[in-house]
Amino acid sequence: MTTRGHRVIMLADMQSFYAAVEKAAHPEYAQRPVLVAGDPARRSGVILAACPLAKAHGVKTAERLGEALKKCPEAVVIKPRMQTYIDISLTISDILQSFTDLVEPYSIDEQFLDITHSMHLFGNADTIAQQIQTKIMLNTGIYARIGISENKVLAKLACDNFAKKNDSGIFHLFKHSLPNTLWLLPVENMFGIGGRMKRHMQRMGIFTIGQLAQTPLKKLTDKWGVNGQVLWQIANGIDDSPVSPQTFEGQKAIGHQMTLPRDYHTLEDIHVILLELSEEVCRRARHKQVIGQTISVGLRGANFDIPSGFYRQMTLSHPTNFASELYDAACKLFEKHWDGLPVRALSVGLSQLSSQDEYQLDLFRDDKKERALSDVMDAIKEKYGTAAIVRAASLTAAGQAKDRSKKIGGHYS
Amino acid sequence: MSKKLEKNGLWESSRMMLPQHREAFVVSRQAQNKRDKPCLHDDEFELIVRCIKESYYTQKTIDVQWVHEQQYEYTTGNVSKIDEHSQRIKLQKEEDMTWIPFDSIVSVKNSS
Repeated sequence: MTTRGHRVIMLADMQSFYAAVEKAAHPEYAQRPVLVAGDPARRSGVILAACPLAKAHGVKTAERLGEALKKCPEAVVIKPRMQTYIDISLTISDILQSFTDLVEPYSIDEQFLDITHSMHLFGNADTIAQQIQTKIMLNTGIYARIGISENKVLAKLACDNFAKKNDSGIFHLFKHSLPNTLWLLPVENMFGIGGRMKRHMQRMGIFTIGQLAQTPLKKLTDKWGVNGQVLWQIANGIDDSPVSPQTFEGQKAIGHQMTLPRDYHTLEDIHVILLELSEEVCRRARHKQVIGQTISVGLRGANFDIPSGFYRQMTLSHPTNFASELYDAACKLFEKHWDGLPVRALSVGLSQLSSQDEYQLDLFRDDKKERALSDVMDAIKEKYGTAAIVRAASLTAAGQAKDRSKKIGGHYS
Repeated sequence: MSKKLEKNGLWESSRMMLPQHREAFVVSRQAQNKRDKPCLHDDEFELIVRCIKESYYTQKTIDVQWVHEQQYEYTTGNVSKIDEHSQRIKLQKEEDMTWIPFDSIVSVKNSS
């Protein structure tokens, strides 16, 4: 990558992605407001995406389906199809890769691309942005908004604050024009600043992004350490991170998270979930032929008004990808840190991964049986689906394995 | 935490991506990098044969480009064995040696 000389970076964002995919799949709903929402009977029944027609009625993403329908009773409600969204996101990656090989997805509906060395082939940045918009629209029926600048931070800010709001859906943000564009905006318009941070900032007298940019760096690092510096750099549009498609190779951690259908109160019920999560994490680790030595457990409390929870890690005596070992460690960690209050969501992760081909044999333990059992379970799940064989504990009322096997990212696939 | 300020750290730490999406992206990228072996012109084939023979008889070091599991591989060394029965050559470089099947070779050059 050339470090000096300007790069030209874009962030392409798909408008109301899930809803747009559904509208393209159902032309009969073209003129009707469309909502994509999880299972209405469950807590996951929140709005995942709303098309612009629905948003015009005041519907917001992440609000409850019931509230959305009060505002917009004529809306068509569609269940999410996660696998389809992933496939279409990859189709869009392919389209972007026809302009440059440097394409890096940031989320399912946002992708960075570096077109510095493509402009002699396809024309200037704005021309390329228009071509991208047209190609994506023709191929998928989705409207893409594109922020253009010299680095990823500015491209993202250009997209969020300007391209999403203007008529062309394209905005080129130049660094020298920050003082009379970006810096005039309220500080909460900057990504990385949530509700709590906004209040902290305002208490410090920082109301605009420009004020944040001009705050002495030390004042911010004293208060928030590295995070303070990150926010300061974003406000100043400083970012030399590359657009790196290979960023996804060589995974550093495997983790699973589950939002529970109801609040779990007893250790007994929670153990079932920890076992299921451990099982899933280990299955993926075995599939990738890795073992991990650090385990993490996360918890989110049930009370929305008082956010509670923890995220803790622990190093195991030896690396593993056996569910029983991960589960034992997860339970220990959980019991140590749980305050006894109802639980809404749980996560289990495995990191510090290394190849499973090389590991230290244990003098006192024979893992042949465990290995054989895991292999057989993996083979059965591979062939007949993840719900084909589950631990008996998963058949209790607390178990989620059967239901979860039909889902991706907590939503129906 | 400090990794946030290095390389791609800012984006790694804030990325929201489903594991299934992440994996599918890696798989599709790998598929794009897949290479089939090109058809060789007879002249090129003859050149390859000559280089291999020369290396075998004179211990000259050569660079071999070949296809392995649909990826290009580059191996340097001198030909220490020609195994006609299994249709492969043994390329030796000091302690290391590699067996390369005849029909996977794309090009051979004298090592500079």
